[in-house]
Amino acid sequence: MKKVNKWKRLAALGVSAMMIFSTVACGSDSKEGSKTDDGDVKKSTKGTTISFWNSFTGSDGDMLVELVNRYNEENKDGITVEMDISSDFDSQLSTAFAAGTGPTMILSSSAYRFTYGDYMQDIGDVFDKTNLNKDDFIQSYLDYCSEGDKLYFVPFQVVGYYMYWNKDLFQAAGLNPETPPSTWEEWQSYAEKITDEGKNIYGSGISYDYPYQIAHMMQRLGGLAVKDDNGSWKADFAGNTGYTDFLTMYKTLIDNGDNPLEADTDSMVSAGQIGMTVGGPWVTAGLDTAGVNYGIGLIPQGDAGDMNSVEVLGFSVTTTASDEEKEAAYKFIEWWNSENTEGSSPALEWSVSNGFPAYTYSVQEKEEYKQSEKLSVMSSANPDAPTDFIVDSSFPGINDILNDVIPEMINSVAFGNASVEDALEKAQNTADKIVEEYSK
Amino acid sequence: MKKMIKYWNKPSRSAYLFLAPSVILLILFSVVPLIIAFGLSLFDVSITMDSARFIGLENFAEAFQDSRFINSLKVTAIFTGLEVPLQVLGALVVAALIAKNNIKNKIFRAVYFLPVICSATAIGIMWKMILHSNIGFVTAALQSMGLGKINFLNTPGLTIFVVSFISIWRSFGISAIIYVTAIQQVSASLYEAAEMDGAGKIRQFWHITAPSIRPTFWYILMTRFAGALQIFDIIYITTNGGPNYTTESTVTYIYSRAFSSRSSMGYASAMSVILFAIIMVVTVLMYHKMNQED
Amino acid sequence: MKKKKAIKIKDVTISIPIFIVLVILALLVLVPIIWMTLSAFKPEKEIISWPPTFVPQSLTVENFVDVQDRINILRYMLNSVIYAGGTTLLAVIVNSMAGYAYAFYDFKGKTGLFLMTLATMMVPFQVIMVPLFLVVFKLGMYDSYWGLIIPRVAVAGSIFMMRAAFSGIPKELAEAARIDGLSEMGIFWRIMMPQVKPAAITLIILSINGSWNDLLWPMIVTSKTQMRTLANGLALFIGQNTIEYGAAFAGALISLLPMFILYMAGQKYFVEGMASAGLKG
Repeated sequence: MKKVNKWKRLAALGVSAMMIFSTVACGSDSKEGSKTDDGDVKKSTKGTTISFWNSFTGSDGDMLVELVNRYNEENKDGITVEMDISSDFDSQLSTAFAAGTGPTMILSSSAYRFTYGDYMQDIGDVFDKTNLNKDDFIQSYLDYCSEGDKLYFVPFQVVGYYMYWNKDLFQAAGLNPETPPSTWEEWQSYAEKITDEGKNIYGSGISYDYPYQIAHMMQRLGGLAVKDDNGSWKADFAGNTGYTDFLTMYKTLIDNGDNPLEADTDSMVSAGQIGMTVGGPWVTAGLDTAGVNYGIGLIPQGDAGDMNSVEVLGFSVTTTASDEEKEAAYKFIEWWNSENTEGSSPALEWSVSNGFPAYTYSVQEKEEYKQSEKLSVMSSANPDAPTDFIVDSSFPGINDILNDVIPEMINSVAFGNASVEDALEKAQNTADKIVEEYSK
Repeated sequence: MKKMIKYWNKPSRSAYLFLAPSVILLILFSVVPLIIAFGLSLFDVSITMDSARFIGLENFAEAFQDSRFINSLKVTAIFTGLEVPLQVLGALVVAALIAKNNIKNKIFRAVYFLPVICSATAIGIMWKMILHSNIGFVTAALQSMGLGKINFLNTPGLTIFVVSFISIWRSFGISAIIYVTAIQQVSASLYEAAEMDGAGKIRQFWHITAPSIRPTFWYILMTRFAGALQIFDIIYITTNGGPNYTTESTVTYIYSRAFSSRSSMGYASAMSVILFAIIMVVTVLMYHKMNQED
Repeated sequence: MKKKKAIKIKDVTISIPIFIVLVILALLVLVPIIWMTLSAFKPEKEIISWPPTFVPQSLTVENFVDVQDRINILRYMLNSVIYAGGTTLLAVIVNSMAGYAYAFYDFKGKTGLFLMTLATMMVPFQVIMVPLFLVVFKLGMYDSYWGLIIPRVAVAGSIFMMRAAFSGIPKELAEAARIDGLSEMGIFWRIMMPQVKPAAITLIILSINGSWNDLLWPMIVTSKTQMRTLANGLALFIGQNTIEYGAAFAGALISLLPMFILYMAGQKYFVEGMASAGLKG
């Protein structure tokens, strides 16, 4: 009887030990398995499979899936692009890189090079190894994607922010629905006219919790927050009269009840409760589904002069990619920007259906592109205007300015626990620290 | 005699066998990562773990001067103060009321459990829409009842209570159901005896139910406590720390530090160590109290 | 069941005020969920509108069609079932064994081990995420179901819960079984586990539910689309800049349903568990 017990216990121990070891063993088994798979592939020259990660959740991601599937069917090199859209891109990417693994290709904001630059390859030779013509790409966007003479990204999408106004609300307020505000003074006076407390309608829709929106507007009045000052970075918050004007305007709009104290103003825009707002091209999706009668235009300029602030997203190839995979990624990028027999390219399709301005001259010239009212507004910005967004485009601390400095500043003004001057003073201090960190 | 020794040795020996799988798994997948993470608190290191630089206790010195960190501790304390008593005591009272198995109680239990099985993301956006200051139907309903316009999610001082409510709303059901299972395990004969002595419902609860489910009480108290001090996902989805940082919990702040472009895993780890120390001290105190009672 | 009635506690009718409180609590839970359910059948335009509506003015199943068109529900659900099922099966065994040991045995290092166990639930996952990933990767479990499941099996909270459940059982029961000559494993499996059936069912439901709704872990420990779980798939409707509310709510309902059925099935066992406990006592 006792012997049996002993055996039973030993068995239990054995089972648990086996469980641990089998997991380890199974894991390495599958690893070996995939290795031999690779070998087979090479032998039969079936082509290369490349992994491609991005964070395009939402409806535009759907179109991306479609286009990638099309590539997988169409391409004659036997290349398979295995795409994974992540709802938590940063976590997925950072853990993978930490372990020395990762995808072949990623699609991200060009600012990612400041965080993950060590894991990105210089892909400047993409123009030599493919039929892509460097001169066709608008230079300022390529600059966004480069550091020195190294190219980290091939542009994929240019994100600018625009002004949207609700024509019905303009009409109801006795304003001309075809003329949006062209100055910030007009923005304020229109907002006052449009606001209708009884109907919960607000003239101006600026969110205190949307640093991108704030930054695009703020820089129209006060210019860039971090500039290149003879080779060293310099933050410009304290005493910046444009920023002072912007914050004072925002505070006044809130105090007068012409701008809601609300984080989620986008829903209100879609619900037709906001007269004027500023946002990315995706705002139109909500407006279209809701059937709002709206107009789209450039953000009013301020004292800082003409500018066309954008963020550039691009394809990049990681250091985990082999030469073969890198080449396959190039082929995909080439396909993305190549015209088919009907003269259309995925880049054009993407641009037209999602409403992002083109980054190549050839796409801008296309009839389909020109016909889109939205795109023609977006492309109407002065082509020579500076495209930097909130900081000099080569300043690595852009996300810190957007995630730390601006939110603190706008919150303290919105909720009234600091004067505009104090808020800017504090922003200057925080920004100085960030600047110092990147100057090392 | 020999038999006796064997007899007494066996259970203690088999204790280790019973524990082996969990201890091995915990060491491998929890303790080792935890030790690595704590080690990182002494380094200046980014999230991808490249180029670590040893800086000693600098991260800790920085944390205690970081007003956002101090603020986040305050927010976490308020949140814990709201959540823990309600979850531990409120759920117990509710559980006692719905412990008996009849149709009515089963319906109540199923209803209270519903939020538990919803995904946090869905719950977050649902509440965000319902409580929206402009297009939320709760806001609109209150307004039409003449109760004025309440800006639930954008009012410093109020929003922390709203977020606490959502969090309690979400996990109240777990605590209640666990209490129910514990209460149901209490032997019916104990109640019978009490009944014969003429003890009322409330006295039965205090003298029979409460002492019998003590281990469950401690379990709920300690896990809720550790959970409340690490509140993250509901805040992340609903307010992301706003308005004006009044709902930024410690873990929310740690998260934003770990993943910002100045990604500072070392600093995030240092703040976690401090949080860990706070939770651990309280837990050890509770553990001793628990053991005394056992 | 019959027997239980015989020894039933005097059925004091729950007083009206208590009933009202319970109903109010139930409404507090139900109204938002009903709103979400109804919204899943509203066109997107109506979900975001002013004045807001509660009852849909026009019904549509568009949102569900959208979900079905855009994600491979069956494949994702299969992964979710493997992940949740695998984790739970092992979790019940491993955590119950540990909980039993802490509740029933005295041994050297008990306090130390238990505190170590507790310590593991006191560090935010976001902080140990990268180191944990490194461990899993070094063990060669990246991109496999094993890597998904094994690290999530031993959970301090579950061990603690089972410990609490086992603590409620009189120690004499074990003594008696030992005298009858049952092995320690036999005592645990045949005598003790049936006693804590309600707690074990709770553990099962919580464990399944935890993995079912887990977003982050499957995302980082696997890199292939075929390994994605339902929760990951549904997260795709919440974009960085826009949220598709209708589809997100429809998806939430789709993933809620299996859990709810499971819960209802589980509740049946709570009753049985109680009946047997009542008889034993």
